Amino acid sequence: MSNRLEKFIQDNREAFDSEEPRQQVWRDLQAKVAENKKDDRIFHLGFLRWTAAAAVVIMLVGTFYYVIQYGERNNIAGQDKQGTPATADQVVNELNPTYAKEVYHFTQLIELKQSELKQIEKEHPELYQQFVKDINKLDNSYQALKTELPKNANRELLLEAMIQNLKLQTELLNQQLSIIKTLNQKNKQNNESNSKSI
Amino acid sequence: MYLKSKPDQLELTASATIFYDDLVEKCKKGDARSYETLYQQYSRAMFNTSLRIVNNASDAEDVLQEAFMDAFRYLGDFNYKSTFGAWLKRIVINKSINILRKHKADLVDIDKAAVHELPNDEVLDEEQLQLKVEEVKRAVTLLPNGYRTVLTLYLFEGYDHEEIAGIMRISESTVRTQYHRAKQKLIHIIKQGGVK
Repeated sequence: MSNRLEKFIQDNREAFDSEEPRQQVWRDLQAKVAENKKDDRIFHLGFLRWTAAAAVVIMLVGTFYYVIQYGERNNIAGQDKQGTPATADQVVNELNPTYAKEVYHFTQLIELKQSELKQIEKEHPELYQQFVKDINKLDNSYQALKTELPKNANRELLLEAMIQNLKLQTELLNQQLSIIKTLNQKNKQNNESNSKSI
Repeated sequence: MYLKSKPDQLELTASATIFYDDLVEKCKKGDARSYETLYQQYSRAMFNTSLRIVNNASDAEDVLQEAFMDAFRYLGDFNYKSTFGAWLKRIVINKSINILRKHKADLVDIDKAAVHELPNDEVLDEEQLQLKVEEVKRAVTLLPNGYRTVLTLYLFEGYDHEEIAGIMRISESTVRTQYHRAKQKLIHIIKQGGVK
């Protein structure tokens, strides 16, 4: 079958878009957008944003404890099992040295931040517990990915998911640390105002 | 939702893509001027896409307005897996097809007469066609709803049969036969128009 029609339309594609909507369409749209923005301000900023923030805090708080509680146990277990993760690491290295560097970088970063985080354990045990729980959720899926890696055919994709997971962990830890910072500042302010009033 | 490599004005060079991504980001932050730029950039193409499906200007304007409204509202969900234009176009097409459904239009046309009354050699003889943009445009408006939708999605919007089946929620084989018949009918109309 000849494709003259197809070709003609392809060649003249732009000329077929010659009709114009009335200007009124944009004016109506503009008014609706403005109206929506007002609603957004009331709803999104007032309500949604705070619930979202609260949800993050709750999640973060959950993650922490878990990490602390089980962190040490995992460390010991991890040392015993050195053989298994090593194979995954080898796979990463063989697959793509850049990825391997990235994985290493993020793992280091996470370790550093976790030790930083551990300092709040005494002051805010519940918060810490929650924070640890959240991180561990992510870490569990990371470990699952890692175990899967040597077996899986689609390694490139899996590795990307692993790195994405590590990035998320880092972000989460960052947020957790910033929450702690705010908490500490508030405590400080309270203490100062207390001592002043004395 | 991947557009085929057919020439399409929504296909962009790398630098243009960056420009539009930047524009989309500004809109995500609620910048009113960026909304307008985005509208000016895409409204004509989207209006014509809708017009070819719904076949009347007033419905197409409604589609255009609602589609942009949705796009602005759900811009946060847009994730750059496709271009903004391709994403918006899918919204426009879905809304246009919904309008046809609302009017209880048949999305699958049974038009056996058209197939039978045209001898094959006439139908397939595209070489002699004197094609003009205005003629083709007019002929498209004369197609029944189902034919017109399949044909415009394939010929003008660059979707393949599988994608069209998904968009219209009909089987791929139906899309194939509908497209084949729609094209025959279109050529027939153009030829008749030429005789007049």
